[in-house]
Amino acid sequence: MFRKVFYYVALMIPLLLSGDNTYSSRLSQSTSSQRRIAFRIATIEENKGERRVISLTTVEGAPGTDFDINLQGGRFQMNAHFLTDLIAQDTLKIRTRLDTRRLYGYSERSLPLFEEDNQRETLDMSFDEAIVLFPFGSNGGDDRLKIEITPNWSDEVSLTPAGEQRPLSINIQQPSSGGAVSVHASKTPHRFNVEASLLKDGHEVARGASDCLIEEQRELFLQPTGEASELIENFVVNFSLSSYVKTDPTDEIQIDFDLYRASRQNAREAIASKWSGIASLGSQFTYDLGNTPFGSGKNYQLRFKVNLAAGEKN
Amino acid sequence: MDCEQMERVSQLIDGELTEEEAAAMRAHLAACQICSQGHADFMLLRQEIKAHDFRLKPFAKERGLRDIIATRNPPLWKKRIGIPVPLMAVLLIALVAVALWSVMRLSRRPTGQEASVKRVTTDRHSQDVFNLSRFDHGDRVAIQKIKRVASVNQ
Repeated sequence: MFRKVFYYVALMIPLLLSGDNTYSSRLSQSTSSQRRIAFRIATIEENKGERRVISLTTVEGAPGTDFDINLQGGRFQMNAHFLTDLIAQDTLKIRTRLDTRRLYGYSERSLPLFEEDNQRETLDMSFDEAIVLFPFGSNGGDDRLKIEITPNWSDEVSLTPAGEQRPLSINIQQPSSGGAVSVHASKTPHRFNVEASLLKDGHEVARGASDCLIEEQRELFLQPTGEASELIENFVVNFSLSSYVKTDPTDEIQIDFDLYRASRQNAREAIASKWSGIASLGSQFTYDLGNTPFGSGKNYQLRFKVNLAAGEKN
Repeated sequence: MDCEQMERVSQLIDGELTEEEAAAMRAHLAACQICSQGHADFMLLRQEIKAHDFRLKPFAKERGLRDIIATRNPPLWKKRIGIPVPLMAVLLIALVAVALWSVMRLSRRPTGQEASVKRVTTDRHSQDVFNLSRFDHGDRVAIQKIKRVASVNQ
């Protein structure tokens, strides 16, 4: 009897320890994810070392709040789009899309000619760091304009006592003169779970699943299922969820994907390239591969199902 | 063999004579063999004309009608327009002028590669309240991550 109890206790100790670790980490993650994040956005003019704040805005919302900074000044326009995600306890993943448009001149026919630039950057940052955006480049001369984006934990929590998400807030402490700088913010789901299945004659022969972030490519490896005794190849789906649209009764998503056949030597052969579609969230949507060289004469289909990741709200 | 009254024989048959003239003419016919013979010939001819069948064959009638209609409504390419000569001359001069202008315009149009560009040197939007042009030296937008310093939070 004593020996039995001893065995049970000995067996339970590591489980309790590991369980406690997981639980505490989940709890702290859950607690932190319920806190809001405030992004302080300050537009600053620097002249020979002197700083002058031109505009100041604070965007505050649940983790995953996105914002846009627009700069509009005569010949120059900038749209800086920021997708933010809390990827670890104190780590933010900031994905930026920087689009600028500068009036270059006029053609012989007096039509305006523009210089356009598009850049994408991804930054992982902690809360003791800041992002500095230089709309006109970091070199400059005596006069330099920069936009400082500083994340901070807010004292407010993301959810109401009823479990609803609090609406985000945009607090304009100092508006820019003439509306040269404007800030917009939005909150849409960022984290999803995607399942992809390869079907032959309506039966699943390979399957893969993965979590994914909006506007980020993710590779799904489709592994042969039990029913696919004859299927010895591996398939890879290069998947990205490019946009999320709130609609009634169900929200819609836009996906883009490529499908490859991978050999054991890891050589890839494209089956479907740059395919895309729009579907309702949570629904199954199927692509017929019959018009590809791979599926010609066979009844192959690729089926997707995309859901919100656990903890994500729409 | 002629009678000067022969013309009146024809008028008598056509009923163009007065009562007195017709009575006198009938008396003359009784006395004049030439006019009497002429009268008989006229009457015979008249009877033959009356007896002739003037009905047209349907096909010939249709063709004749079609020809008549065709002469009244000629097709578009056969129609003629009557334009006064001065107006025609003005129209021709205008047409030639438009053609010359078009040719000159086409020959002056630059190709895509040759199109020259006028670089903006002055800001057209100088009336903006917050003028950003003093910061703009044509460089690309840049983004950096920095360690937070006290000034950032101010």
